[in-house]
Amino acid sequence: MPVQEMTYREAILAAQTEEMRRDPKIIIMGEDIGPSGGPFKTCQGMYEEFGALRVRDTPIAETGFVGAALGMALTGYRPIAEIMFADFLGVCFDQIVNGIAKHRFMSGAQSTVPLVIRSIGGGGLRFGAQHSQTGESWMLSVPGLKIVCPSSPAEAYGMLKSAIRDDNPVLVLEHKALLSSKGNVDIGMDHLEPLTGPKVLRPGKDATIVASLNMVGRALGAADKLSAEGIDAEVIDIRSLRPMVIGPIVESVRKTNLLVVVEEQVQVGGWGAEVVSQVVSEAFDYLDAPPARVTLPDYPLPYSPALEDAALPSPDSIAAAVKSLI
Amino acid sequence: MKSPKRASGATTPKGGAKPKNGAGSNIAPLNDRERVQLFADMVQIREFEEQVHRSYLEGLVHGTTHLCQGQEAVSVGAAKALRDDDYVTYTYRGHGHCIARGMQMEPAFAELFGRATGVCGGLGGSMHLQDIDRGLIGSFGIVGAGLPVAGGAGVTAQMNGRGQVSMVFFGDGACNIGAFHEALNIAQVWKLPVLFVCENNLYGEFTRIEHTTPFEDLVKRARGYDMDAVMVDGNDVEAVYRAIAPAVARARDGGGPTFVECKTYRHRGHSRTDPAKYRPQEELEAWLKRDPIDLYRAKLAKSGVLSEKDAAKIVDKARDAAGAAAKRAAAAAWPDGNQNFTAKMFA
Amino acid sequence: MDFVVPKLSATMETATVLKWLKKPGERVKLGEPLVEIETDKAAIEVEAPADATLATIIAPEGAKVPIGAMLATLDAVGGPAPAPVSAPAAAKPAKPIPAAPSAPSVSAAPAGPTPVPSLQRGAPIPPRVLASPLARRLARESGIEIAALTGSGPHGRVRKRDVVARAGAQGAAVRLRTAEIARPATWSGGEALSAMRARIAETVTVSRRTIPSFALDRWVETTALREARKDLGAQIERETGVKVTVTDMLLQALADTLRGQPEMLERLVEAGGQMRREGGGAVDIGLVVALDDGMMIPVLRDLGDKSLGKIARARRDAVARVRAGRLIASDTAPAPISLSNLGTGGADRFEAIINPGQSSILAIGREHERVIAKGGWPTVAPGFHLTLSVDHRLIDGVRGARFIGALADRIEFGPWTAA
Repeated sequence: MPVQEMTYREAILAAQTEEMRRDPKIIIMGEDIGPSGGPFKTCQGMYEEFGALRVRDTPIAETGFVGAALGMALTGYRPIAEIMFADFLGVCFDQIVNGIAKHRFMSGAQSTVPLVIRSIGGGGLRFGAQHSQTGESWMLSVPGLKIVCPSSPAEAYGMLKSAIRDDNPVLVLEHKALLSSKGNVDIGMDHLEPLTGPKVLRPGKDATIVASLNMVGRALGAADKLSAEGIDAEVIDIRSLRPMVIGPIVESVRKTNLLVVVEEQVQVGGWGAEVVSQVVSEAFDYLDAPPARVTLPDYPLPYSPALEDAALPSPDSIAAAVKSLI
Repeated sequence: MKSPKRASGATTPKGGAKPKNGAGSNIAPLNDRERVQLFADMVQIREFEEQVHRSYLEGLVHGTTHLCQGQEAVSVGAAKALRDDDYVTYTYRGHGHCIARGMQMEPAFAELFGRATGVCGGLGGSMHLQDIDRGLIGSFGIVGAGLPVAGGAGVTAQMNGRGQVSMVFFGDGACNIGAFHEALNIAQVWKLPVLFVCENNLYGEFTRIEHTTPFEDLVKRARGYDMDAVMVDGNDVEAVYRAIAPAVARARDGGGPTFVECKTYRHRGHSRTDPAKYRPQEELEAWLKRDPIDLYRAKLAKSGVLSEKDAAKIVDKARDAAGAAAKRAAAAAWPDGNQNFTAKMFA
Repeated sequence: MDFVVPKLSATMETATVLKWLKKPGERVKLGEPLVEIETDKAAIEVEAPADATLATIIAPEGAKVPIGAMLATLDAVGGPAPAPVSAPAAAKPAKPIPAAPSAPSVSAAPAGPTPVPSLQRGAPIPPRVLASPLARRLARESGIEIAALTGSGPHGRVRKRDVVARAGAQGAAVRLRTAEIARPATWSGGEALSAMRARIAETVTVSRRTIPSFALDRWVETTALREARKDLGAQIERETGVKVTVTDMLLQALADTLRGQPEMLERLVEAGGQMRREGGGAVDIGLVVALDDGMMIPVLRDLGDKSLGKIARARRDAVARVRAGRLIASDTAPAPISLSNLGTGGADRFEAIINPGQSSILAIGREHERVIAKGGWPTVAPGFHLTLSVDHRLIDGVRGARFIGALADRIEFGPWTAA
């Protein structure tokens, strides 16, 4: 199967298009995704190929169409709902948290809920506080929902396919700063990436750095800076927040004895706290320093460019955190 | 428009069905057997709810429950218009809708009692009865949350192209929440085959409608979305059927959604812990006189379809059946604490 | 994951499950002893291969199972069981009863907790040593007192590098496991024993209780040895960079003599309640290496025909490993005899204690000048005592005397060659 270089955006589009060709039960809904191809062009050409019944432009009504996604999933279809900005997950929070996540369980497993909610979020593009959240930590404490964070075109492609084929509700949190990033994607109808499990992207022996989404690239940048100073950092992409599989991270910390978690979240309530908690539990006797977290400051993301840049973790701030433990 | 301060007397609805496009004329009249069945169905719901009330007092029903005595004509009249492959969504006051669609009493009681043999294995409870094989796709505890979901089932019905419809029951209180508006708007814009059946019992929880809504006739909400709307006496089971059936037929035909407002009243409080003292005594008494089961019983007796004696037999039989089902349910085992809960959550 | 019977020796084919140390539902940590099994050679504790919960015991106590058979199933904690990164062996190598000392790699679990003073109501809270969890564990495993270390971390926190630095100077601990002998009682009053001290206490107690030994003594002149060491030592040091010590020369002499009298290589092994003599092994010699508050006896393998230079290098490497606490498997192999050289100490002679699992031990006393008679005339010569302790169950007086005589001749008359 061909390996192509493509952007994250193209990878999302490829995955959706291929899956919709494969399974007529897949329907996609969202704002402006029809003839306009989506505000981020993630649905370019799909309306023309699949028609208005399967590619549905919705009114600005997240509760309405995310709720409709649940209804469709309960009755034999496999809907994808695109949420324009992850911040808008707050609008349909009830439908997701009280409805979608709980429905199968409350029914005693009578229902299956095969739906995907894709949201595009993240900061760094000067969109301001209400259009810059990644959505990673909002639904972390909700059982019944799977949450994945693709950090590269290959992951965006493979995890979206897996999410669409999964018979359970999956929240795919995409990052707008990654939309134009390029990477190699192994295109193929059944080329899936698993929905769980972190991956070691860069092996190392002196420190473990765990990151997600746009922070993965920054962590790799930090690892490069550190290696020039003789510190060999291992970088892990957590990939999936729910369920969270801690094993490979624990294994890494057993080797390196140092842990730094990098999140585009504020500290309190960020998913990194869960990683630290589990690692301390599982690898207590292997820690040579307290685990460190690099997070957003505890205020909404400011608009002004220098302020926004200062708020986001950077390769420098990540490298500094690692060095502070050595 | 009735005076909002009026405290006594029933709200007299503006008569029977007023469908657009004159589709009502296509609905076949009911025969006597069907009429007796409508009566028996309403009685069964009543006896089920009365038994739930008794079981609650015995400590068998946990938490709280929301009873629908007085509203049986809506559930039964609406169910009569549906096919087996239609979808139904309802609320936490949903026992009647489930029984009307054929949910068996014993597993329903068992669910309320929290037993392993309950329809949801004891995992859902009173507010979440569900029976997906009967098209009962979900009962929503959050007010209004079911309307968008019903819209989604409407999309499915539209995609399937077999003439299915999606029917959703909700109360007057839901007409003020965002989900209601988004669902009606989407259904109208996409011409979904959805029946929005509003059980207007004049009270959103403990608060009478005039304090929360600018008007009492909720069909006005639907007309705001340019949606076909019908108002009907929700305590006249045949009137409900005659109002809903044409709307269902039109939806099956691709004619889009209809809003059906059923004027009705609940005999008991909002939930089990509510003595409903906020309702004026005269109002309650006037509505109790319009008990849908009593009204229909009298009508059937008067037209010679069902004698008093036979009606009484039906009531006794339903009461005994409910009692027996509750007794069997109360003897059932509790759910296994060591079961695989993850499998209950994820397929 | 599957927890199976490991192959612990070349000859092992089956094992008997003696005792489960955990119950189903209990958690075990990587390296923590999980079950005691008995092989043809010894009773051994098998360690858990990962952090897990013991799910189901498949082989109950008393069951006899072949290699690779399922002992139990484990539920690895946190998803699929990761392959152990530092890879400690699932079980230690087989040891005869009573077990010979075997040493773990630094990352394996400790033998037992260092006793902690209990906190009574009203008692003053003892001052806390600041140390990372990793440093605490490494210190515990190495028998290093963490309170004695100065920490390089923030707030004076002791870290791994601090423990490793001390271990490098001092060496790691000895672990001893035996199925039959009860653990030593906790000493009351005074301070509790460190892990290493406790293990040594156990070893020597076992030896004294179970090995009926007697000693043979011989003073040897070391004139020739000294000459040879000067000459050959310089040559070997030039060629290999290794400094030749008296110990190296003694090892070569001992190895030579053992080759000539191979019955001294026999060991007594208890299997299935019976005593059997095991012979025909290679010339493996244990070397007693002193540490700060204890000692360790790494085994130098196959010295039978090794050159002095090779012996010197093997000795140097083994001592370095011992001091760094990083023993390898061959260091803990069974051996027939050990050498304990206190030539630079203050005692003329001493009687060493035989290492359980071995048959004899050679003690070397202080090197000093003495007046001796040679050819009827008094003269002064340097020398030291050889004191050979032997297990009388295997070695009788005649054999012992013959051996020590041959060894003495070898030391006094050589031949000493670099090859």
